Amino acid sequence: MKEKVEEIMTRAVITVNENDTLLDVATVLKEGKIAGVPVLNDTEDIVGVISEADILKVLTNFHWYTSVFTVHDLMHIFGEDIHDIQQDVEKASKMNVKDVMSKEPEIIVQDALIDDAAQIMHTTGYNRLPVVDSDGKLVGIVARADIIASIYEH
Amino acid sequence: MQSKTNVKVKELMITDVIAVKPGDTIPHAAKTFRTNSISGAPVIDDQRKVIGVISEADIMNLTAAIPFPDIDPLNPFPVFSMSSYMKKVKKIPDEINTLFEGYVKDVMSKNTVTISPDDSISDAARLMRKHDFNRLPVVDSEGKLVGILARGDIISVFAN
Repeated sequence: MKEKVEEIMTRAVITVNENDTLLDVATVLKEGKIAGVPVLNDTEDIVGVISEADILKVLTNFHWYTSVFTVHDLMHIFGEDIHDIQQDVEKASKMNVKDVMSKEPEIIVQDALIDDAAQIMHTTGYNRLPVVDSDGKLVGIVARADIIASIYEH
Repeated sequence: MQSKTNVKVKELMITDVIAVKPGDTIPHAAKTFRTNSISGAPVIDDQRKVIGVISEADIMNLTAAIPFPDIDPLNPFPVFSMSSYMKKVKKIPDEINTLFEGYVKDVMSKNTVTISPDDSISDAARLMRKHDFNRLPVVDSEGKLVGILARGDIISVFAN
């Protein structure tokens, strides 16, 4: 019966670099059919996690955004200023991962118990945790789906 | 060039929606998620009206709500994995066993946050962000499920 994180984690981890753009991340998430990835710096240290939720937050935080009008309404009201909205979206695509990611991510060691991973996800609300070895190097990633599989597929 | 934020929900939603029924078992829902590589699904009644949503988090939180007997009373943390639990006890109490074999209706979120096909994706994004939902069921004027829009579908617009 599976007990440790290393028994259920995915080892072939997809990652991005902190200097990649949001457009790079959106592409990686789409192609990998995943919702989030660990972020590494140039020396391969884990510096954050970036997910769909982080990107969505950027899209909903634009200065022209209000809770009363939809974007469609605003574009009719502003008329000729539509290009500002388009520019913001284009700008978002070029934003750097390091400005959008969640820093100081929750990580877990590979010989920790599945219980511990589940506890962290329950407390923090995070859906995935990067897994590290005793030197702190990324060796895998564990997600909610993996934990549920270990409950029902033992 | 059409602004990407002018896109309507109906242009991005998945119409081939995977949904579950309130009377389905939790293991069935978990297997459905695994097989289809999804993390949640709308729950529909016999008229295809959306009555809730069930997600991986709802399934995982099952064990957090129940006090497990026979565990060290000084350890306040719930047990999440059956394998760990079974190492600690001689026999699993019936109520724990049935916990994992319960029904979708007992675990689902009875949220009625839905969206219509003619809403814009920025409306959808705002709702997802406000409620911290990963997906929104798309319904027609009668509240019947016609599609689903997930965060990944919105993000993928910008990956094109």
